[in-house]
Amino acid sequence: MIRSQLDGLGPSQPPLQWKVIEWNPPLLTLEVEGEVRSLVLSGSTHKAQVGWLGRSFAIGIRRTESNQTESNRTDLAADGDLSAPMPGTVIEVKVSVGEQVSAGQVLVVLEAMKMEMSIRSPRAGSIRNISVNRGDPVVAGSMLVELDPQQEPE
Amino acid sequence: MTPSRVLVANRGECACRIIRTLSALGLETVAVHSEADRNARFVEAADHSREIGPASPADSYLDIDRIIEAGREVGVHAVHPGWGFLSESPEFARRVEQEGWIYIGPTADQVLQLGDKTQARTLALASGVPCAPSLVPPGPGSTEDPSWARELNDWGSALLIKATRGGGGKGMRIVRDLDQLEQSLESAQREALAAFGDDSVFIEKLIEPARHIEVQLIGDGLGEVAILGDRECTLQRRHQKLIEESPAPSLPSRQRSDMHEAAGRLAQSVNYRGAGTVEFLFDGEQFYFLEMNTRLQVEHPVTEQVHGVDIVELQWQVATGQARLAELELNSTGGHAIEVRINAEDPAADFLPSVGTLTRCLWPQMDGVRIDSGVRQGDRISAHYDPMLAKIIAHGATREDATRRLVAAIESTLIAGVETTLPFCRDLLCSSDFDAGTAHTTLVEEKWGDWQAPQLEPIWLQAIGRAARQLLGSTAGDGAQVSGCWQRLPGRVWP
Repeated sequence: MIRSQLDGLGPSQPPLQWKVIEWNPPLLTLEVEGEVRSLVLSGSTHKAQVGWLGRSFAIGIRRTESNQTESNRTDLAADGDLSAPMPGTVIEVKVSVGEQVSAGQVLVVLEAMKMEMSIRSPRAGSIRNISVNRGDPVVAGSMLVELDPQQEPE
Repeated sequence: MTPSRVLVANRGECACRIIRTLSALGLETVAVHSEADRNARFVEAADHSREIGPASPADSYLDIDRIIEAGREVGVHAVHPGWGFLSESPEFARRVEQEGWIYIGPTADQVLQLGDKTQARTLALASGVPCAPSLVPPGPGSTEDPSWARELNDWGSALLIKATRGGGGKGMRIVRDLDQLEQSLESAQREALAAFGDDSVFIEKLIEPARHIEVQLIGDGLGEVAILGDRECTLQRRHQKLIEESPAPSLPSRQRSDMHEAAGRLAQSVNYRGAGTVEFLFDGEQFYFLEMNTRLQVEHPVTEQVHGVDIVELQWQVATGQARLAELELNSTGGHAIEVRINAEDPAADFLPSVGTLTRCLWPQMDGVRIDSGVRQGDRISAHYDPMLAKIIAHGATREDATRRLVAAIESTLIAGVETTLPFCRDLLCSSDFDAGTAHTTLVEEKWGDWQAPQLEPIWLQAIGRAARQLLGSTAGDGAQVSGCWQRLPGRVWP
């Protein structure tokens, strides 16, 4: 199976060029911007893990039902647990405890590898707890925000 | 009556490994476990199990009374102590002997003699095994003439204080300045007393830089000893081994055979019974006796791969008097084997224990690659016990071949939920420090302290996320399904 695609990362960034060289589950050989890496990929489209050089990384995947017009929104919004997808620094906390948020709303902005990354709410709800402050360093998996799902009206 | 029911007094990967061979030999296995290990893989693997206490090792895996009681309840005929825990306890070996059960290891007297470092040294010297110069200091509060330490000047090196009953680096101190000797002795004695209930220490000339090379042997208790080659375990961190291999690379053949013969003489001098390892430090010219471990060792699989033997099976044969060591044909399959230990530790954060649930645990199936694992997906990894989860062992025709296979196996492994030492060991294996002869036992502490974990860049995370959306099903959350369709890697391209 060989696929090649061009994907937009956002209005200010050049398109991302990637290609599946080989998929022999769970082994994935992927080419991104001309570089080829051997990876181990497992999980579901809701929650996937990838292994690279002996280490594992959580991959948050955008829900497929998301609005197509929002195509430039980040893929890295966590899908349920709002933890940092990779190490970085918190550059902005956009919500406060108790605040009602809607699905897709930006909660926290991280900076990692000199790129900004918006962590969006996977669903509507209220903010139960915020574990980080502006300027905090985070590691992959660090809890950022805990969310209570929206209560059904009685 | 033929002994057929064997209690394995251990846990985790160690217990899994031992149960595998015992079951293959048609024996019934009995696991003893703590509350925390109720659902552990080794308990499932055993034919019978008994819970012996709470999570704390002192109240379970180290509690001799409870283990003996469990053995009586189930009616066992033999006990395998594994490694760690009670494997070097003469008291445990004696209690097993007193029950009339077979202890799959040396006699209690041998465990006692060789486990005591000064006695072991005395035996080694008597067998013509080279030892570093040493001195026993006067006990604490002694009024002996302080000139006893004068001899230390003549050694012309730094000193190493060791606890007589020591192990695991406890009660050990390096002294580089004789002015610090008194102070270091006092603190080593305090630490030894706290850790081993005995404050005796001795001083040795520090051999540095040195490689750690050890000889695997097995004795039948009647004077016959078979040498199963050697292993190099130089790459370690704070006395914890990281990567082990067999045979030791670039060791001059004269030193290799001298080392094998010395180890054999020491074992023969006590009519040693069972599997044992004689550890040496090698400074490039001379080798010096370090200690003898009277048990199976974590790194035994590299020896098994190279010599085509099952050491646990040999242990059983010796214990039941069926071994024919003189006729043991070491059908050396030859080649080279290398092992990495996978510990639930964060190598980028000073190797702190990493706890959590193993959300993914996928192993490769590749030619020449052996996985010895004590865990499975979904297991909770706690900080109660040793952090070792599993080992990957690769065997190849040459050291380069084995290294390439091991790196490929590591890169095809997925362990998620806890940080592990795997990416660190992968980088070590790919480094020039792994080159034969250039490493020494403190190299990792000296050079690898600021190691950083690999990071996938945002564009890679993006691309993988998109690939995953196309390649993965929406519900195939269970990696067990995926692991069912593992295949040989066709046409892998090496970087």
